[in-house]
Amino acid sequence: MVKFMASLKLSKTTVKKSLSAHRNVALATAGLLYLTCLTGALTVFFEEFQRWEQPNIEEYTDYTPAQIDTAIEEFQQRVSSTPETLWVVLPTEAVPRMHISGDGQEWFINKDGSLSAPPLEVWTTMLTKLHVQLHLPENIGLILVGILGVLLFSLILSGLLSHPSIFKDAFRWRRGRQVLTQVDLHNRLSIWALPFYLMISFTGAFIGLLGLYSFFISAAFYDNDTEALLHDVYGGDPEISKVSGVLNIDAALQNLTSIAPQADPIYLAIQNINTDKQYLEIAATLPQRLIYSEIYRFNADGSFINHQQFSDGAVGQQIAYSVYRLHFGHYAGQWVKIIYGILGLALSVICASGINIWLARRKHESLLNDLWVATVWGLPLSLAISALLPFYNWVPLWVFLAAELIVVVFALFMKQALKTRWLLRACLAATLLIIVVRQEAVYLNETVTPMFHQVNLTLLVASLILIMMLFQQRDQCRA
Amino acid sequence: MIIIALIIQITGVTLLYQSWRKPNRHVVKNIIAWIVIMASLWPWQQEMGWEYGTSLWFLAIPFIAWVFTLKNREFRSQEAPQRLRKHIRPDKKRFTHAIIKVVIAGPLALMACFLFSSFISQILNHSLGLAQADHLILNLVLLLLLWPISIYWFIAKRVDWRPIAVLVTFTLSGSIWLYG
Repeated sequence: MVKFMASLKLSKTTVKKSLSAHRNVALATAGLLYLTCLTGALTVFFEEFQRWEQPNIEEYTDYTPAQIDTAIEEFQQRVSSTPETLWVVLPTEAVPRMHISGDGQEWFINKDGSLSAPPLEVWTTMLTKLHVQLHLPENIGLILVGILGVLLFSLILSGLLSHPSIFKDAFRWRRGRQVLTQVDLHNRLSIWALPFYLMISFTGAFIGLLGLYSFFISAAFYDNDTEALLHDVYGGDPEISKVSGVLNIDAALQNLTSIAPQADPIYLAIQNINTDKQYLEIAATLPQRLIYSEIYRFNADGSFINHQQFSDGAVGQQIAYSVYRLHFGHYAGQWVKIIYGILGLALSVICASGINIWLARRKHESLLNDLWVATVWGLPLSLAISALLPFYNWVPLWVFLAAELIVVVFALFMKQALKTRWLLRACLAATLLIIVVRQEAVYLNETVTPMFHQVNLTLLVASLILIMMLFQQRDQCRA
Repeated sequence: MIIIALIIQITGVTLLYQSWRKPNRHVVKNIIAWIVIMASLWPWQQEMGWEYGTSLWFLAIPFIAWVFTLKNREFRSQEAPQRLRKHIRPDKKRFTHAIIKVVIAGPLALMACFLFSSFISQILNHSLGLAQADHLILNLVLLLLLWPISIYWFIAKRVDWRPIAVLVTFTLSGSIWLYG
């Protein structure tokens, strides 16, 4: 293998040019790429964070059609106009909560079918929007994040071509020396999880650029009719064969059990509710399949119409509907989420160490050293502060931006990157501890989901790890 | 079955590590190690299905390999050299060059790759008779593979005639096919 690899040896010029391309693209995108990777690693757990933010919502995994009927009735009484589509998200093992939404209005559903509190749109929403669209207008933000996916893919390619000894040194980790420690950390984290990073950048680019691609393709082949294009990829609306004024969810669920016994329903979408054309869609996951869901369509009386063929249609359709779970890590249980979280953090470390190598190889220090420390440690600190202050009705995005601005000004004022890094880590550890104490104190006498304590425990462990790191590097504070 | 898959995978990475540690890394041992690692894919797929099994097989490898990397760590302390603080002004010439490259590797390369991937997928569609969804997704997949490669190439190369020639060929071939 070594000889084979040696026979494929790249020329010095190719290595030099690849390294130059790797460095230039990395320097141009480092900040945004790091932000996207860090928020991506946290967004894997958005369901857990949502449960942690609102821990006192009733949780259960079983439901009845009567409960859904009651919830729909109460929803219609609460809203002024009936929405075109009504969504009922069913409880699952991952998120044992049920909620109903339509036309931007949403409530959790109690076990008896009555409506509970509306979902809060605070820190977790801010975090996911930051990852998905960088809080820019939706289309622009999505495209920009998609382009970041393309650039990450390109960085992986140039990284491979610019490090000819990356396979030869596959198990080497030399610590203690400033540049080599960073180089080995960067290369070892990169090489072993390479397929994951390729997959995450590709699926991210796919999701982000699908809208832009649809625009181009519909202009080239569909006379600007994007709807027709989406119809070809995802399928269209069904023909309603039976008109019925009464919605029979019970019959639809029973029919689904006989049509697809392995299907596990995750949500219902009631289309054209209270009209002659009303019909029901049941989205269900299938065992061992990466597709987001298969969609089964039923007439209002519960008789089966068809399924959308995401699970057994054209290969392209199956691929298009599989990229989401593959990107989010929402398949095969909680362990996959944890692995995605760790690998996402590893990718953030790769971004940070890449720039650290470039900074350490320079013969001087400049403002860039301070700015990079403010980015690498300021962003997690700002995210933590924005998770703490919304409890006092502060808007999390503004808290996040203000905190990051203060960190940047502080780093530029300090002009000592090592000391600034130590202090920012200390602030992060303290903030995480305060969040845990504050949350536990607020919900002390309330019945809360076990997930609430699990998230707090994770934050506590993260804080303790940071404190240990601070203790080991305490000489940096005195520097 | 998952335990068996993990045991085979750990064995494969252990063999790889042992062959790597030897001064003259033997090609046969290295190949055996990779075959064992590949073989662990089978129990993963038996237990979890083709889709979950393949992705979990990929996800497990880094964690096993990082354990050996940690085991192999070496520590040699070295004082970081004292470095002076300097204020460096940006080089205007390099900045202009960078802007040109961003334009070439960005929108121009995107358009060229889009047209070329449409061209290739159209040819495949005509010759193989693909379903419309397959045709559209193939086009997007090709675009998402060609664009990062061209970004790397345009950034790595100087602004010379070869990348420009490829860009023009890609654009023209796609345009003529689509609209010509």
